[in-house]
Amino acid sequence: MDLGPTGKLLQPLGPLGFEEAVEVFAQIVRCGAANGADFILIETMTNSLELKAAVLAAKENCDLPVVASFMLDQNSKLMTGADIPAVIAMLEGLRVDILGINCGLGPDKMLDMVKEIYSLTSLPICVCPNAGLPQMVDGKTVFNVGAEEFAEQSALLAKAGARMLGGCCGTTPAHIKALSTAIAELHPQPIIKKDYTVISSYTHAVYFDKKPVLIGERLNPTGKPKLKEALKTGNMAYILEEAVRQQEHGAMVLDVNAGVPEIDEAATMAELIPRLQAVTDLPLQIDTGDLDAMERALRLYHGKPMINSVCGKEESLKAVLPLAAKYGGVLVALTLDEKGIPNSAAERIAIAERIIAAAREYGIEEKDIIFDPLTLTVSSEAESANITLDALTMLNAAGRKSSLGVSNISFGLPNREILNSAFFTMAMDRGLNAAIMNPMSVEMMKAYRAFCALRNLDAQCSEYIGFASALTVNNDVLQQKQKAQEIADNSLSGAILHGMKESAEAFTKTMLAEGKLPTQLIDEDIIPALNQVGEGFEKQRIFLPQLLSSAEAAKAAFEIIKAQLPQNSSGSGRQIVLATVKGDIHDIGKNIVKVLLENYGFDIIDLGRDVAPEAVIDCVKEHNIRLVGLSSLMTTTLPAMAETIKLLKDECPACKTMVGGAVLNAEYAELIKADSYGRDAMEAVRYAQSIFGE
Amino acid sequence: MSLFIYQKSAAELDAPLKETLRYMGFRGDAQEKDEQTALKAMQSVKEGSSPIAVYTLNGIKRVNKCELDLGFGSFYSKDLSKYLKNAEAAVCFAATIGMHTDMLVKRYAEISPLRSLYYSSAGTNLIEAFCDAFCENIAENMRERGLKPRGRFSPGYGDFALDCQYDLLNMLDAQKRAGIYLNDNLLMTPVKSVTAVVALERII
Repeated sequence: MDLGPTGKLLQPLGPLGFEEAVEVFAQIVRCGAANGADFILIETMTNSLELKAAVLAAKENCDLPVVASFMLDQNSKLMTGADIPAVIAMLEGLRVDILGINCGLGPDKMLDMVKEIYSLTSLPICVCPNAGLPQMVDGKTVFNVGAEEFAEQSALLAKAGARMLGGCCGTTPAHIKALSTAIAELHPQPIIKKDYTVISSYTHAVYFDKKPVLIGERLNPTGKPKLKEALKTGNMAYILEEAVRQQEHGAMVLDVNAGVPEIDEAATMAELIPRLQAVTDLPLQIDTGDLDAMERALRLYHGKPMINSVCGKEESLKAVLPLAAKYGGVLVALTLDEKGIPNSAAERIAIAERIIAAAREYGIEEKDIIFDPLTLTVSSEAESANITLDALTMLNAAGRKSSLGVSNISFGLPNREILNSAFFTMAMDRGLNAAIMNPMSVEMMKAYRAFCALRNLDAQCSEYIGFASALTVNNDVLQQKQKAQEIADNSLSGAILHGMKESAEAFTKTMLAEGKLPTQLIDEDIIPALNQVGEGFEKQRIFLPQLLSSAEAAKAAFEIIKAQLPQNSSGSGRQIVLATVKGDIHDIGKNIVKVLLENYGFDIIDLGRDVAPEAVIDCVKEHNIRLVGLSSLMTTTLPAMAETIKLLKDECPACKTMVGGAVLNAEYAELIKADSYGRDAMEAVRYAQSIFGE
Repeated sequence: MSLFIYQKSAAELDAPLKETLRYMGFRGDAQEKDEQTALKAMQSVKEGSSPIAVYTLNGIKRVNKCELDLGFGSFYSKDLSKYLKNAEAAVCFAATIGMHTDMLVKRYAEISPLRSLYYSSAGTNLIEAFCDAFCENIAENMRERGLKPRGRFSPGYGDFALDCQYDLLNMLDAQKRAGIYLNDNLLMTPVKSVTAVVALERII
């Protein structure tokens, strides 16, 4: 039974929901299985998430063997960016029976790819090349690979490890006949079992080996009130920003935990995982004790995730192991059980052994388990560090992989980074394979970069040099600051006028520390600077990039000020809903308007892009909104804008609408009965001010 | 109708800095730090892009003053007819630089619209540079036949309707060959993609 691509892009890139895709494939699988299919062949997949949907549909609806074949471009990548190791990690995690590549390229171009696949996979390989590609040279068609050539080159693929061979586009019965003759005498290459511990994102794989993997801890609300608040209020922008910032600071994997008591954790995880994967290409560690949340996250995750965690308790093993077996993933196994955390390294290792045995019953191999021998604070348990380090040594000696939440060691003690970074170095030296840590901590990164350089885990010390040189530059910060402050005319308003985000932050902090009131800063520094910038923009003395730089500098200052204000005073009562209309996925313009409006103190409810008219109406009703801003880039989505406005006029007649976007003009805005057309972001600000009587 | 593929590595494309700055909205007033940021954005965009074009060489049958048959469908367009008035043949193509720029733009969309704008402008610059390189390649290939291309003409120009992209992309098998998808609202993914017709006229 053959399953090809649906022809639709999956969310978040396109309109097709993941479960919708699974159901489409499931219908075909059920039909094939009921009518005597021998196996399921999934082929020509260019999006690894769609490939995952097809594999899940096959696994959930029949017991037939599954062959999963994908299509690579000339750079050995899928259209959605995945490289070969990433796709193999995901497919092996999902337990397909055979994997391989087809279409897109001729057999000659596939040779190196097959070699790479053979070096990575423990499964048989299936390859179906095209008969080359037509190209135009000097106005003539240079076409294709003929039958004999095709067969000759395909035989090389067999020697490189392919076990099942065939032909895709452009091949004819003659190609297949020649191929059959050419490989008749060849013996297939042996299938070699690989022992890598690997996870993947939608672009690349991360291997757990000698070089420790850094897992960013900042997306776990424990002890982080701001994140907790963001999860409760659904402030995705804050969460996404934390993700991107950790990646920029060197995290290789991100831990994701949405465990806040007041929220629906499963629903939050289901929203969070795709949103995070839209902004970061790092693999994620799904961190939850809520099984429903875990399963929903595992289904939607694009790649092979880390699963945090299982432990030695019967209940945990029975609940988590089936999920790991079904969806694939590397399990983090905590060495504790019903009796708690043992006081000796040997007892913790004994729990690890029991977890391995239980996992084996579900077909989960030892390579897919990473053990966390647990860190307890040295302030309450004097032997804590020694026990953990000894357990690491034992795990390492047995060839097992390990992970630790490093910063637990210093709970309750002052200047925690001193202990954390020292313990981190000691643990790495005992063979630690992964650490859940804060990549924004300079001390932790110092320890990591130094360790990798000293242990020959950093070729030519290049990462160390990059890191240490940047630190030297930072040591020159005083000089730089002075220079920046001169440019910024030594004032917050100057920093905003010049679009200097860091200076704006520094001035805000200093001025607040000197006793200036938040409201004074807003009224005397920020607003006058913004007005000056806005006026310059309107008179075309400055242009969009400068306007945006200033807006982002002002926003950074506001963020600091907001933290100083009592929580209930942060809302201005001037709420505006913004959305890019249904069908339109362009949101740069809308985001620019948003940042400007926020600068002027408006509270923005950002509904995002591709927003249905009904969703706008619901939000307006719920929050009693007085102004809605709608954006559209294409002529084809203007009807959706008109429809949204009509519905608003019918159901919420008191609510005003302003519209903007590349293809709009004042005449059209009038035609669709919008109350205002904004040529640019500043016009939107001016209209909003007029509506709120300013 | 034969389908051809044209590829050129992003690193080899001539995408001048000033074009990225222009797409961003600078009007000759960019500071050095803006230029440095733009250069970095262009580097990131180039590193992850795989420019590819899929194209056909089409005969032109003029059905009437406003209707053309390019061998795979009829197009009613006064402006396209005018554009192809002196053409002996036409090249139809779809080109893209791939998903990488979309991902970068999305990554910073909510965090820094400014940074998003840098990536988006760098991507626009790159796809335009790639389309230019593609058209130069067509010019070279057609010279021997005594033909030269005119500047490309895309759906959306004049009355050449955007929904013509359906037929164009289908005929070019662009989804499979180049990873270009068209949604119900006629938006292409990857966003930095182009469909166009190129008139081939006799060199006099």
